[in-house]
Amino acid sequence: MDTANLSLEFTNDLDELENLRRNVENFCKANGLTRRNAFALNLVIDEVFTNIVSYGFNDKKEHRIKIDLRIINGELTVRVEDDGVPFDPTAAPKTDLCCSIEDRKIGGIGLHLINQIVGEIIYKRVKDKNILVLKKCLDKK
Amino acid sequence: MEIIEEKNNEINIFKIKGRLDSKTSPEFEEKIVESSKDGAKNMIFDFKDLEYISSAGLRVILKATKEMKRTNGVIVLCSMQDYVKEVFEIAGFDTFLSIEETFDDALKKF
Repeated sequence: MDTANLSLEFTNDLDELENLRRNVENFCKANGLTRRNAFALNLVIDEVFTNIVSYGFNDKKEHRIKIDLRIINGELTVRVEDDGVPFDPTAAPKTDLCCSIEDRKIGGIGLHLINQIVGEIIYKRVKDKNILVLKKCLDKK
Repeated sequence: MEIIEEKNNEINIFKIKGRLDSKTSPEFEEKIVESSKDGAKNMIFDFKDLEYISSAGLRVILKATKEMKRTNGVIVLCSMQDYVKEVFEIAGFDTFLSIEETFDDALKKF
């Protein structure tokens, strides 16, 4: 079986984005992901991480955000765990793409991108933690 | 990320190098707000060297486009790399933004 694993941990600070990007890129290179898949993976993780950092915490304390990447037989799984306020992205309203620019909402774009890129999104709230699992089928090499 | 600002015949040109994400986009937003306060009506966002854009970058562009529309200004985007362009398409932004293949094509829009 063709498998790969990477476990990462970051603090809730947008300064971590650069560190996150480097780790994701190295993972993509090491596992021969196409540039297109690497771009998409980076984007999805960036959107999830940015959402958690921006809206997940009501205190000024430092929190840890865990991100696990796994590839099994061409299927990529991203698992994100945080101890922020409950947020179920699968229950969030869908973006209206067909409205005029005047009516186009400033929010919800990130979630829309995630929904379009990944094949499956699973959300669970377990012991005061948000657990988000995203699955995507990778391009054939 | 690096922003190079130029002016060409009443057109404010912003060349963005690197990544537009939640960390870097506020700086781009500030530059746009500053130049529209200075009366800029015509803008080109040259994305030849833009390697990456997230929803934070898209949001800045959406806000700027709404603002320009209100004041009868024009924003034209150009020279996007494939994956960056794909993000605009997935977001449905290509339907209301003016996106040109080359910088010269963008200039012709004014």
